[in-house]
Amino acid sequence: MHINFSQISTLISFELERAFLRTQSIVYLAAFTLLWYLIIRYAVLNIADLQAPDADPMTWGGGVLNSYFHIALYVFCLMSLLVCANQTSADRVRGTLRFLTLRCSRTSIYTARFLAQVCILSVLIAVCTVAVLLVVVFNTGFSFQLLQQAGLYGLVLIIAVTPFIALMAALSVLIDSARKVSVAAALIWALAASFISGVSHYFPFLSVLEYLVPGSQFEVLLMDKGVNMLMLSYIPMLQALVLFSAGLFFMKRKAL
Amino acid sequence: MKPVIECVGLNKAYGVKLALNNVSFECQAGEPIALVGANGAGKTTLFSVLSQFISPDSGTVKLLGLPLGDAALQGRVSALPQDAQLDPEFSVLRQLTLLAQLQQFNKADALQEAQRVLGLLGLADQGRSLPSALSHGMRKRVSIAQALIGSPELVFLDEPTAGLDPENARNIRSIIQSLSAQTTFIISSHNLDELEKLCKTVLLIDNGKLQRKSQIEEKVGDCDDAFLSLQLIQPANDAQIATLSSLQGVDELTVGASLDLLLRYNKNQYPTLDQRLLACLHEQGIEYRSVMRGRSLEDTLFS
Repeated sequence: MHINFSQISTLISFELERAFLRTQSIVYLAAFTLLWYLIIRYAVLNIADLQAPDADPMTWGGGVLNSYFHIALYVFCLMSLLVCANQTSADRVRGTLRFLTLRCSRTSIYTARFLAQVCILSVLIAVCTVAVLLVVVFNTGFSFQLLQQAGLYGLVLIIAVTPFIALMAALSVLIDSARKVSVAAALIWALAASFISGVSHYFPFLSVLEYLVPGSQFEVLLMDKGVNMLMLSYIPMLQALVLFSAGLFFMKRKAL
Repeated sequence: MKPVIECVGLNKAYGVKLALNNVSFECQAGEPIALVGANGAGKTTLFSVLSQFISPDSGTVKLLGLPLGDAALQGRVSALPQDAQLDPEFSVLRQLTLLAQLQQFNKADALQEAQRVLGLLGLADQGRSLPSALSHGMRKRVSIAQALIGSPELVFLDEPTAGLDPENARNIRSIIQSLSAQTTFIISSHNLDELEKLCKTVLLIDNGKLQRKSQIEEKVGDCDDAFLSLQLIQPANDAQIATLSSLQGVDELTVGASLDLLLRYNKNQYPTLDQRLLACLHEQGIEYRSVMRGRSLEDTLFS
């Protein structure tokens, strides 16, 4: 396995340029900003108000961040099924990957594309989290506790989306179009979760299979608080590692 | 000197069809090498294996003395893949700069190198264009330009002039000739005239098997048999054919396409047959376009 970190860094920069610096990507980012404005304005703030209408400012601020985390956990995971669908499929079909493989290893290309998507989602998560924090700070004033809570939520969100990105990376190697990759991921995610849940109802010892499905820790995660939330990080990290390795296995063998 | 390509027992099957069947050969660095064969003969599969786009089912390959996949080959071996297209979202110059950066050029040098190869292919003013804004021929030239980034030692060109206008095809040939001192080109093409002008070694592949590897000079011949290829302006009549056949020393006269004649003779016994042939043509009033010693590549490979 040949990994060249300089090449990986070059490829990541190129993907970040694709995501943030092209005219078309600016339109996408504008749509993303508008969507999150609506989510924060009409969902996050309203839920916080409904949950604790008479709360003091600090508790209200914590509630807003908590509502944001609940919504963002699912929105960003679903978003990754769309945003990260085209890691290698279109380039492979078009033949563009051949130009790259003449110069760097498939491992480097696959790793760079995966890490680039992790970076892109991390930036988007960070921007949204900071936006919600600013809304809270604007209403309640700054507190280190709120900053700490927002930082923790941001970190947990980034870790939570990683196996979804790895799933998309692996499917992108096997399937020839981004749209099909998204559809396949949604089907695999939903069907696997339902199937394992159903099977483990009758055979409880099989409930361990739930750990194979990205997002399986969400239910427990949403009940945890503080740094305890990071205790479950090993699940998405292991899932990401397994999915990434499976994708890399196929990437190395795929005809280009 | 180590061969630039060493293939031993290459096999590749698609389902039940053997695209490569126990292909073994060696090529030395130097003049361009031609890879010829019919459609589906296995040329692109062989190129794809050599370029690592696909893995062989069995067999071994060494390029520049190193096994396929060795990191030391990166930047030293390049290719023009058949039908591969650049990313439609970025300009040509940006993408070539990226490819140069991947070959360990720093960003400023990578930009310069991208501009250099675009200039070499006559596309210096198209760098800012998106691939979709270019004609088919221009895109092809951009793809050739990417293969020349960093002056690699070995370049596989799959149909480099297919779809190009005559002037640009000629430019490509000229570039290949001018670079062949430092780069060994392996060229797959159906244009035998083009290969004849460029290459000295020919690999003929058919049904996945390497049928022969020969030097184009062989058609002039090391053996006693030699050939004269004659292209007429108008078809010769039967009497004129008979007269040419009866020239002393002509062992066989083959009429190819109506204007092409091929004479086989013993060059040791009749070294001046070419001069007598010219005199005969003059006497008979037969107008000709060309007389060439040896056979065309097409006649050599497929007669």
